[in-house]
Amino acid sequence: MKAIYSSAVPDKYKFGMWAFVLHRVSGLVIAAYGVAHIIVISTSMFGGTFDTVMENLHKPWVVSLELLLILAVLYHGLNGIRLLLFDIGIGIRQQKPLFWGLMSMGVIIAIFVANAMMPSITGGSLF
Amino acid sequence: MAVAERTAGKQRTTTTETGAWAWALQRFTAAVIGVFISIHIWALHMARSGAGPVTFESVRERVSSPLYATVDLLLLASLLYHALNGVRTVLLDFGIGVKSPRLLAGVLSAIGVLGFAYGVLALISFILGVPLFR
Amino acid sequence: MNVTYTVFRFDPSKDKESRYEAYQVPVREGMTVLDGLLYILDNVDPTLSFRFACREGVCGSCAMFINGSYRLACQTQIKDLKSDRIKIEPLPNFQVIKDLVVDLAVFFEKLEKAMPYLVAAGALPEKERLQSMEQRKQINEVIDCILCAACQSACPQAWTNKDFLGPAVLTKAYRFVGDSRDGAQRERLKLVAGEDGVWRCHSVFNCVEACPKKINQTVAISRLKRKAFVQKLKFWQRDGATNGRKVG
Repeated sequence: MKAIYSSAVPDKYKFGMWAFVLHRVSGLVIAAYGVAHIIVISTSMFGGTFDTVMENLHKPWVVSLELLLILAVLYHGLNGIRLLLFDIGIGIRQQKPLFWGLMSMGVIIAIFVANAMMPSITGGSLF
Repeated sequence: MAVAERTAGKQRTTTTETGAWAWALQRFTAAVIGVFISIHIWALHMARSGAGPVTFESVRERVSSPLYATVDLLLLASLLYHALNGVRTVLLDFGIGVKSPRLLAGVLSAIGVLGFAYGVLALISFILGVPLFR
Repeated sequence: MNVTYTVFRFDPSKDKESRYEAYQVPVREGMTVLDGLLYILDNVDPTLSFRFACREGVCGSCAMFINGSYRLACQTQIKDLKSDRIKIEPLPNFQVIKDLVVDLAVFFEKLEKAMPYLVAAGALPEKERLQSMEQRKQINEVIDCILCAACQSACPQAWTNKDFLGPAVLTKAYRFVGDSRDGAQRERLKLVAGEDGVWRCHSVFNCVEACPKKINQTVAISRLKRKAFVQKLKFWQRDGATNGRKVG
């Protein structure tokens, strides 16, 4: 007999679920960046290549990707604060307002960071 | 499949308790990373005048300070632990390695130690101001 | 007024695939979703299978997936669904035995691993074992669990890892770990603090969303995690076996 499971798709999964999935995905993205970061930085061991590599990487599209990375780090870090608070027993019952509170902090920081990175992407500043 | 058939011989999959320390360390490194990565990014990208590319010289200047070198080393160690334990958690969540958690932890620890050694070599290059290999 | 019930059907003796069947159910004031299923069973289709017992939300038999939400059929007023179409499916992530009846054996096997019973602490008292208001408050919420398995069905860790004990089992473990009258805290903590236990919970809150009794399982599991870690710190109590029983 073939095992049959209900194909029902729950519609009640709100951001607790999505916060978790995004935390996972952003974590794996950052880990992958970490590997690339170590490889790039370690060119310092191999004579003279470091400055060339850094020069080559200082391109608008790379800096744009770095901005995306910063967003991933911001999300992972701020949602991480939420998870840390849960682990010491704070805010579990207020997980939703806590999430949005931290995310609005994230938006403010993201605007600040994007502004600082704009000269390397478009040559001008955000404001 | 009959219930009795499925229940027969069922045993607990694991009794290891590595989870408690891994969990606590994951939280601790998270806090360390939160503070140190802010310092790291600030010192590298915000505190420098201009927005040109990072150069060997600018990094050398920064990590010559024992404080920054320490920050970077602790950051590297924390990040490696946090990332590799994160990978371990994802694998365990998908049921991979649940039956041999010590093997999984051992393999990931080895990767972490190698990664740290590699990072230390890179840092030494910067501090000495000369490439280690030519 | 009539509502249309769209019910998940699967009969292993003749069906290869599951299907949905529609029924018209006349609704009167005060009718629950379970009453509608009983109407179908009595008047339309006697082959329809579903579980129910107490009809008052304490037995945990009739947890189903109703219009995309985890609900107890007996506690769901048809008029509260504010729709003339009701879709009823068995609990997701469990194997279907027939129609709306799922195989909960896997769940109860896991439950057994958490010692879901009180182990009396200390010597026999002269009268009853008393609890202060404060002590009782620790378990006020988790004691409401009726083992309907809705949270167990909703937990994404349980979807990907068949060994994970799951929110209902961990909540039940906390119900005794947090009970001042229980004497097997350390043994029980040891049982739920393995890699298939509390450390698989990542505060996803699907269980909390699913629970028809409005229990916050995440609070209970979070307390278990802290207690398990503190227990781990007490290295002088390493062997964990109390009351002369073997663990693990």
